[in-house]
Order: sequence, then structure tokens, then C-alpha cells
Amino acid sequence: MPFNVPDVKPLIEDEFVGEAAKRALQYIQTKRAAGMPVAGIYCGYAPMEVIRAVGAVPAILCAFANKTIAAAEAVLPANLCPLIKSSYGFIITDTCPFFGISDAVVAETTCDGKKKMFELISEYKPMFVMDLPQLPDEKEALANWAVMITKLQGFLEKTFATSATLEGIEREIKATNIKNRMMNRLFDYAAKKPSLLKWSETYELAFLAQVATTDDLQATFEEAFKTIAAREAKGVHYGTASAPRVLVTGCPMGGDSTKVYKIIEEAGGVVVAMDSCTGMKPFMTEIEENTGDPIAAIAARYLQLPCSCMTPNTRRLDELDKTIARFQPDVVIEVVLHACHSYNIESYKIMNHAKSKHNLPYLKIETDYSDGDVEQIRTRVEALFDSL
Amino acid sequence: MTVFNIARPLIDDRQQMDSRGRFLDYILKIREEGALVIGLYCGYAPGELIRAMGSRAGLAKFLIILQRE
Repeated sequence: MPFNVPDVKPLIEDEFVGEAAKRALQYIQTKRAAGMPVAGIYCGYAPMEVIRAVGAVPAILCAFANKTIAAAEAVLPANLCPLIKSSYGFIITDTCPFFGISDAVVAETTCDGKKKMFELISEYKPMFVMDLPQLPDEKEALANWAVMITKLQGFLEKTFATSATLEGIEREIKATNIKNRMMNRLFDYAAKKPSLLKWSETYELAFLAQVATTDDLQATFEEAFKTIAAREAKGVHYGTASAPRVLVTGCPMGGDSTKVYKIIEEAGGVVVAMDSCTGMKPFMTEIEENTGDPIAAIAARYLQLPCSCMTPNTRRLDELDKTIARFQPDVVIEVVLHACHSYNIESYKIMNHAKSKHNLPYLKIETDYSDGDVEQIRTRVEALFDSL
Repeated sequence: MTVFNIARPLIDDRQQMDSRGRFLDYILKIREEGALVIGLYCGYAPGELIRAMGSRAGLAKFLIILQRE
């Protein structure tokens, strides 16, 4: 599905249009060449402010390609989540450039599969596994997570032979908040009726925003906002004015699993909200500033992330309410990766919530990174849109 | 095939080959005497604490149900 006029200027006009990972890689390589250490990350719970405060650049490690899964299955069980198999396959085949240039890896105990996979890759790079509290509403959770963040700071300082100050961490908190406001301004354009953005434009900026500093992003965002304003002035929008507006929620989406976004578009829908860790989730809340205890402030904010590994994960339903009110979707599509038990089980609650509270049609798609189910998914999405 | 040279089982009651039934009978009997029953799923549950709470609360006893099936 195209824009309603031809030859629309992309939001980021460089040689990496449609290649979010390559753009990020070039950014990280430039920083590394300037002497900055690289911290590989796998998850939205990695506290970026601490990584930046120690003078490192974060690198999102490869986890979204089908091509590395066969190699991984020589070691890992086949009935494991494709994200974990892909991550491991990238490492044992030495094909993830982000991992290759990482000087250390930050990991978290989010799910059982990842936790055990981290044990297998721990010999490749210096690694720090953060014990993530999974009952976020317990009063000890905040203190325990703050301890883990402080220990991560110590690990990074020792590994990179550098140091961070509380003032530096506070500066990074403020920088994150500025970045998140810019991202939310972008999301507001996606939320317009009709939407001014293609999903891949939001995805590309979100990808870059995960690794780049706020200062480095300013010019890119200013140019992007000018481009969007010009679109709005000319009446440019994405898809047809009556296209079904889709909120996609669930597991992280990237690389080969973006087939679902593409199918939604090809079926005539417009993805207006990407409620996942590779979409809007990392940018939706701000960190409290000037508390005098920046580590605690960071801990509080990250514990608010509504991942299905948390129990009870009531925040996800609260955030879903806000997202539905803001983006006004016509339908909710949940994407669950095979064997992601927590998102899969939680999908029952999401379905009931979407249907009963918001009276929205809901479709759950269980998939992996292969293309074997593309036509099956297409049939289901088309049937869903036909029923609207 | 290995066979024991004695015929008498280690627990010589009416519930041979029915360990679940024997366990349930035990739980029900103690429960009728006033004990509270706490269900468990996992070996990480601190049984000592559960039993000790029974003493402190003045209850006859606390029991642990191990749901293994």
C-alpha cells in the first residue's frame, strides 16, 4: 500500500532507506572508531542511561533472521522461540556484526530461554546478566533492580576502564526524556487520521533512536518533522483514508518477522501503532528528573515496562487503554512468536480486554521467522479486514 | 528381572501402588482435625516456614500438598 501521492520524500534521506540495521551499524562503527566502547544489548530492560554515562554506545544485537536458526538448532531445542534461536545462531556462525564489535554484553533474566542461552554465549564476550525482578509491584522489586543497575555500572566501568558520575547519569536521564518526547511527537503523526507515516518509517527512527544519542538525533528529527509537516500541508497520507487502522501488539518484531506488518499493508491495512519493544514501548514513558538518586529513578522507569515476563502484568492493559485512545485503531492484532509462552498465555487477557472493554476485533498470530505461513496469515488478516 | 526375596512391602497398608490415595487420605484426616492446607507447586516453597507458621498461629498444624501429578 503506497502513499496517496507518488514520490513521497522519506523521513531519513540517506543511503540506508529501508535498512535500519545497517544505518545503526554505521553509527556504532563511527563511534567505535572514535574510541567509544560498545555494549551489546538484547532487551528493552537494559538501562541505556547507565551505558551512555560510562561512555559506551549501545548496540542492539541480531535476533530477527531465519537464516541462523538451522545452525542454532544443532544445539538448542527446535521448539524454542525463534528470537532466541536466531540470536544464538548469529553468534555461533559469527554473522552478527553488532556482536562482533561489542566489547561487552548486557543481558537480563526476562525469560527462561534467554536466560539459559546467555549461559551458552557467556564465554564469547564479557557479559553481565541482570536479575530482573518479575513481580514489579512488590516493594522490594525497585530496590533490587536498583542494585542490579548499580552492579551493571560497576561491571561496565571495570570492563571498559572508565567511570560514570551521578551527574552524568542524571544528564543521560534528561537526554532520554528529550528523545522520548521527540519520538512521541513522531508517534502523534502516526496517530493522525489518516496516518501520515508508513510503519517502516516509525520503525527505522525507533531503531536509530535506540542506539544514537539525543544530540546526534536532533538534526535527523528536525528534518523528519519538516518532511512530515510538508506532507500534512499537501494532504499526503499513508494508505487510503478508509484503510483499517491496526494496532499491533505482542512480541518484539524485526527482520523476518516484519512479514506481518507487510501482510497487513498488502491486505489494505495501515499499522498505526507498534506496541512492542522494537516499536514504541521503549519511548512511552519518561524518567523522573532531579530526584537526587538517578539510579533509583532509572530503576523505577524500567520496571514500568509492561513485558509479559512480569506478573501480574496489569500495566500492559493500562498502556493498551492509552494506546487505543491515542491511535484509535479499528482492530488489534497480536503477534506471538512460537514458544513465547508468556506472551502467548497473556494473549488471552489481551483478547478479552480488546473485545470487552474496547469492542475491537482481535486477531492472534502465532508465527516464527520462516515464510511458510505467509499465505495463511494473509488469509486470516484479509478475512479480518473483510469482517470490519 | 530383579525380585525381592521378601514378600512384605515397606508400607503395609490397603493402598499398595496408590501413593496418591495414601497421601490424600493423610491430608484429609489431618484437615478434619483442624489443620489448614497450603497447596504447593515447587520445591522452592519453604516447607519449614509453612509448618512453623502453623505453630505460631496456634493451629494444630499446617500441611503441604505436593502436587506432582
